[in-house]
Amino acid sequence: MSELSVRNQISERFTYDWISPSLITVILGSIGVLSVATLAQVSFGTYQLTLAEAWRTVLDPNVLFSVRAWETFLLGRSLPKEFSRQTLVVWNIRLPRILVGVLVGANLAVSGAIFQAITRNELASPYILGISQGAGLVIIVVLMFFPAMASVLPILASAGGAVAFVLVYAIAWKDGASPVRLVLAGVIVGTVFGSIQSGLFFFIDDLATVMSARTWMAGSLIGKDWEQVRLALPFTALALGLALLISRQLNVLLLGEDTAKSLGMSIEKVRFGASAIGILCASAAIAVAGLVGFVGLIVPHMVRNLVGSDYKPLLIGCVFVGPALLVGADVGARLALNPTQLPVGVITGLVGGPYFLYLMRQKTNLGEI
Amino acid sequence: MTQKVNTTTDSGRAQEGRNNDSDIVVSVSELSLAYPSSDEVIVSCDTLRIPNGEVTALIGPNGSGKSTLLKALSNHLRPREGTVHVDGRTVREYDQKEFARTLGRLSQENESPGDLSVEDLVYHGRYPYRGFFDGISDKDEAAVERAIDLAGVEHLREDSVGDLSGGQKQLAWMAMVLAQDTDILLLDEPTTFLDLNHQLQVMETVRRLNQERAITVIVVLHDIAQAARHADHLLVLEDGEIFDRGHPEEVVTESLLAEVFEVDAAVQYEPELRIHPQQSLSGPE
Repeated sequence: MSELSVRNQISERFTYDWISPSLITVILGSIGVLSVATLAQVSFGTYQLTLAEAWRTVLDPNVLFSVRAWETFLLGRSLPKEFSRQTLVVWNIRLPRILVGVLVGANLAVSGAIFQAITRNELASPYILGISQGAGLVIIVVLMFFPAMASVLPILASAGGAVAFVLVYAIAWKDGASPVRLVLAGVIVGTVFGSIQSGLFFFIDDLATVMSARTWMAGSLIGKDWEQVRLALPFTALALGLALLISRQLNVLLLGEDTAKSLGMSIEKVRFGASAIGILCASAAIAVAGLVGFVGLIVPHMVRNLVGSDYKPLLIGCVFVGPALLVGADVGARLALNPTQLPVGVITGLVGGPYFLYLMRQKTNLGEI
Repeated sequence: MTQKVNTTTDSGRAQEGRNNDSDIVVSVSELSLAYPSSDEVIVSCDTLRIPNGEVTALIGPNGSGKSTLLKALSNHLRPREGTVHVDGRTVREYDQKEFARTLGRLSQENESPGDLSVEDLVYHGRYPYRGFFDGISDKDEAAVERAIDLAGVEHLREDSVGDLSGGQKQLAWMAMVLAQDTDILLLDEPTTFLDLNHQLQVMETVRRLNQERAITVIVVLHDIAQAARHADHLLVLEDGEIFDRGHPEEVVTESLLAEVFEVDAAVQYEPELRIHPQQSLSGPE
């Protein structure tokens, strides 16, 4: 067990080596975007606040440091009576929506980054690999037929995503699963699952349910509150923590199957474990916000361009850029056509599509990491 | 050491009679290799013994099964029949990381993210020594420094792998494999795409490793002259079977070149082994 005894002598150079100026810039930039978006979201809307009022309410020490208030938010206790209307609008309607956006953005970005490492393909994302559609199908079925089970939706959705991914893996498997075969199988499985989803809509009689299902398919943060925060937070914390733990394994995977095997990695085991984490991330996001497209594809890409391909800073960058992008997009979704609110997935699609086209034209070897 | 060299120089056939297991580090028996997608047997070989502490070169024409054999020796290809022994145990008995601490393999072509620094790449060579949560130990650092030094890539340490030339890249990857700190090293055509200078650098590194650290090297080489110059021991493959084995001076003959490689060549033995190819014997039919 000499490995244990030397663990304390970790060389300083490597422990903090990945904290580069570019990563710090990315983090600060994301926090900046997030703050501006938060202020915009908090102050504008049907109940208008000035920026100063918004600031004051968000930083209100009576809420910020009140145990009672946080019990309400995080444990679901009834609202304290002393909350003013302003506090209620900000803290009970607008802020939780932002928080859900933060969780969803971080989850989707990290999930995309993980799947890009597993497949060694920059085009991979939970959508491409069929996971989103698998999770989505389960969510629709649960919401339609078993609404009582909604509290464990991320777990059920993960199961659906996992089934889809296992299916994809099985189809792609031929002496190991090559990245190209994985992506192709993912598209096939995703299409089939997506068709079943669309088919199910025809069995919904209630028009309101159809509308909400459609919103859900587009991916939306409309009407999200603390309940969704409570639902997604534990899974997010777990999944993101695990993702950071496996960053070195992902780095070795990037060296290619051959090399990883020569280095003694149990490739299928690592791929499967990493997939499980990626599925959990994606499912936690999909369970609360529906199918928000392009975030999982584009955020890892942007971060990789900025901080490089080392997965430790990459994943950390994703945890910041994902929320910034999603919450920023949600400002547009909510306020652009005020009073009509758009699903945020519409905005991420409109922004993400062109960005991706731009990338396609810029790079000759798109796809390879 | 000297005693062993004497036995090997005698004749390739002497290998057959040698049964002292401590001298043999990699061996195969009744081996039959095929890729899972086809039935065609690529390599079949009854026995093969790689002597400890020597440089063994696998040579043979294209498609003779050199790389396939190397894949089986490094546990990248499961034999259809037969077993591969490394250090007295079958490769299946090894734990994967344990195997990676015993035998290192450098494949013909390697891919990595372009912005990975040479130093970080070499640190990946320590993967088999690190537990899931382990950081970098002093031992890892020492091994990496030694590997960088041995491969002569000190001046490239901070450079990105993607910016290196083919030869520099090969040396960087070699350093990564050296950081694995194994007793056995398998190299699959490490010099094929390199210019002369880098070819020599790679082969000199192999030599140095073998001499200073007594590492057993099995190397697939394209170039017979290079193999003859740098290896203690040659293994000639033809159509998936071992055609001949032994000391370069005995193996490399005009008839071997004609029969296996289909070239008409003159072989000069003094002052050192040289091959002068004249013409191809398998012209257009």
